[in-house]
Amino acid sequence: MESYKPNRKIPCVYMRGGTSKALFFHDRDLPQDMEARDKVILSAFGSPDRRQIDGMGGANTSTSKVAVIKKSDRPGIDVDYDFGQVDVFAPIVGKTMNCGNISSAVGPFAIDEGLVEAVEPMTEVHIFNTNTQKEIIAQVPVKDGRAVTEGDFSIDGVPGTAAKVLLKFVSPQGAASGKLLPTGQPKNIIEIESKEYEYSFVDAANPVIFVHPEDFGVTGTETPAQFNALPDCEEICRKLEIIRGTGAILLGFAKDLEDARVNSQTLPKIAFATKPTDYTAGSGKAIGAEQIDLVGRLFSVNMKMIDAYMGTGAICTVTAANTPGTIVNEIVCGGGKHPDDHAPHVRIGHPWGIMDVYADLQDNEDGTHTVLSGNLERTARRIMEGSVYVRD
Amino acid sequence: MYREFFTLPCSIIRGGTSKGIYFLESSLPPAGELRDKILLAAFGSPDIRQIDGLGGANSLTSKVCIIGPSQREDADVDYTFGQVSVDKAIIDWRGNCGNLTAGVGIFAIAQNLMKVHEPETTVRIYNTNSDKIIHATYKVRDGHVLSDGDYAIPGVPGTGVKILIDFLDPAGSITGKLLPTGNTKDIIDLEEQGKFTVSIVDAGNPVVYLIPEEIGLKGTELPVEVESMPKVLKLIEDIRSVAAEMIGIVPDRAVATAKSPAYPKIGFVSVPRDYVNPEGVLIKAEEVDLVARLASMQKMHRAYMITGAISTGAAAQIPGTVVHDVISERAKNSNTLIIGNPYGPMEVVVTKEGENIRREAVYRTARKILDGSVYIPYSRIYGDQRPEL
Repeated sequence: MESYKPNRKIPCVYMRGGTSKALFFHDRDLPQDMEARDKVILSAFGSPDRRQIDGMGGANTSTSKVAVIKKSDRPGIDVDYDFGQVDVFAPIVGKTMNCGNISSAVGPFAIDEGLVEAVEPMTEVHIFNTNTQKEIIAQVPVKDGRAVTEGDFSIDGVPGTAAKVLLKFVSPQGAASGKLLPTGQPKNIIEIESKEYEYSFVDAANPVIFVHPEDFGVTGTETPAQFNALPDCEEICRKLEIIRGTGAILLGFAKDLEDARVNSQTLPKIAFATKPTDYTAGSGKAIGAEQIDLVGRLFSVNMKMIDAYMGTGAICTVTAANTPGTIVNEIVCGGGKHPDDHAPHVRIGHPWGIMDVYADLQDNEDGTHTVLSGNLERTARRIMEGSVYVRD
Repeated sequence: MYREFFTLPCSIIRGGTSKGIYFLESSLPPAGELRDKILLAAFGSPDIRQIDGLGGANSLTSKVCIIGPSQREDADVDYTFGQVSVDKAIIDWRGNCGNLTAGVGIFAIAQNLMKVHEPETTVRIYNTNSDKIIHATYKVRDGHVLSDGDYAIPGVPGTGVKILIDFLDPAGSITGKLLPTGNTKDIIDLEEQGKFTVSIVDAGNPVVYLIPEEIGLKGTELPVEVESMPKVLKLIEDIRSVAAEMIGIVPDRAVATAKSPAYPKIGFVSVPRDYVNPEGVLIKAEEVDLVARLASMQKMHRAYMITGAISTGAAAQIPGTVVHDVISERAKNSNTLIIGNPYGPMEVVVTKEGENIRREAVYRTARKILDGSVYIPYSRIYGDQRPEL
């Protein structure tokens, strides 16, 4: 006879932020002990299970995310926001990084849940992301006490239109390492098996290593499906992992390449960056070289090319574009487009379409520019509210 | 006050190897275009990622169940199932989902739609799609359906309480006949592509059974392997299209994929043999009475449909079908059949009265995942023509 153990009920809100979905919790509704908290979150998502069939997870990295929110004690900050990447296959809630897409749902959540005062027509929510220890300012349209979700703004990867949420990632430099350029140089060379590869390692919102796809014999305009079908895909990924692992060691996340491969999969990221080129996006849409400032391809855990582009990766990309001498800067500002190394708006061509990213820049006396904030325009929507049942 | 949305109460429940969104019939408009629009908005369809809704971007996690009190003498609740297309603005209301039937009682009892008996409650369910009665039996304590237990089903991690799902008079769910063509075997002639032996058996759902060797397979392939063979998938769909026309589900094979993607189901069956499941577990020949694989909505099913198992259980009782041809000697003299699905063994119990199949039972687990309210934007329903509120 089974013992009577009713499942525990925990209030939650299910939200879309940009091209991701996450389960939102109030900090007060979860166990304060972190180990117990992770157990509750894993049960709520049905992890680990490739199908996450017994929980709220969507069996995909972009739909297996959690956000925990509370009113902040920090001066000038409204809410603290912990992001967690709930692993589909392993009992792990990853906390090493933030998610830019889910960040866009934090402001609407805080307003609708009464954590900040709703101010019409626009409420500015000051968010502290605990993963990166950085501030994010969200500008959310508001009417009659609630976040407005309808509007005429569209982002690639989400059908239809919605209200725009502007996110400013304040002083994004050095989110993981404390330094904008962890190597001290805008560009570095690494030799792998007697061949030299150029890379730029930039840490802003998230640390990303940018490389030239041409060095690996690809154009950089491939969609994930096309890339995975390449006969030397595995070989390219092996080399990318060597470069990425070298970055992980530099950041102190791993002691050697093997340790990086096994224990520091999420950080840093690695990306292809190349000049604007025509290509067909995964959605079937033709992307013209004139519509974009660079073509970018980001890789996620286990060297999987991401379907679209990470919000935090975009912040890093716009910061790199404004950092003289980086690979991204040379692509975006080279060729006379932005002759003064000044790129307040960068259009990234990604596998699913185009992502616009902006920067508030401060002009320095030496002619350089400091990125005060990297800005993203996203949309977000409350999909469901209720209580999730978790097993003890 | 300005509101862009309305909310609808609902529950997300895992039933067997599927996840469904359960609504009270009284909280939705009657069947029709408006109801479909509301539900498509709730799921975020059409969109291959269903990113702006509750759908899981997969046929097993894009399902809706509508539950209400029944007026029938022989039922406590009415249950209508809908398969919500991920990438098209379509909800297919024609068949039942056996897995999600396991969640109906959990929802009905939580919504006080019926009286509860302890320690066991049998919920008599009228499935409107198949016009059939199903009895689901739950363990109940202190008014709550228990979910934690020690029974495991393939395709779901961990264990739960065993729920008995008993399908009454399962024959003829859509076509009205156990053997819709009147034959135990038919030959489908696709000219250049060849001639194919099929058995079409309608119990729970109509299923077309193939002989794997005739379509270039061994029979023990896992869903991902079959899905990497586009020619085989196309052949399977071509055969299904002809079968759909033969049994009168569509007027013309040419429209079968568009008009009736979900029905009939199709699969292939072979003699018991060892195979390794997607989690690397060896399934031995002696653990099963046959090896079977099913396809639904033009994709190989990751596990096995319950309604498919009901059909397979019935087919195994009929000498001359391709199913009966391959089952173990043990099963030929038994009322139980153990189907080797991609994940492992799955049991069906068949009760006959004379030659008629009186009932078929399977065991499932189910668990409520979430109770809440889904937000439906008015714009998805009315576009710019939103009515004044």
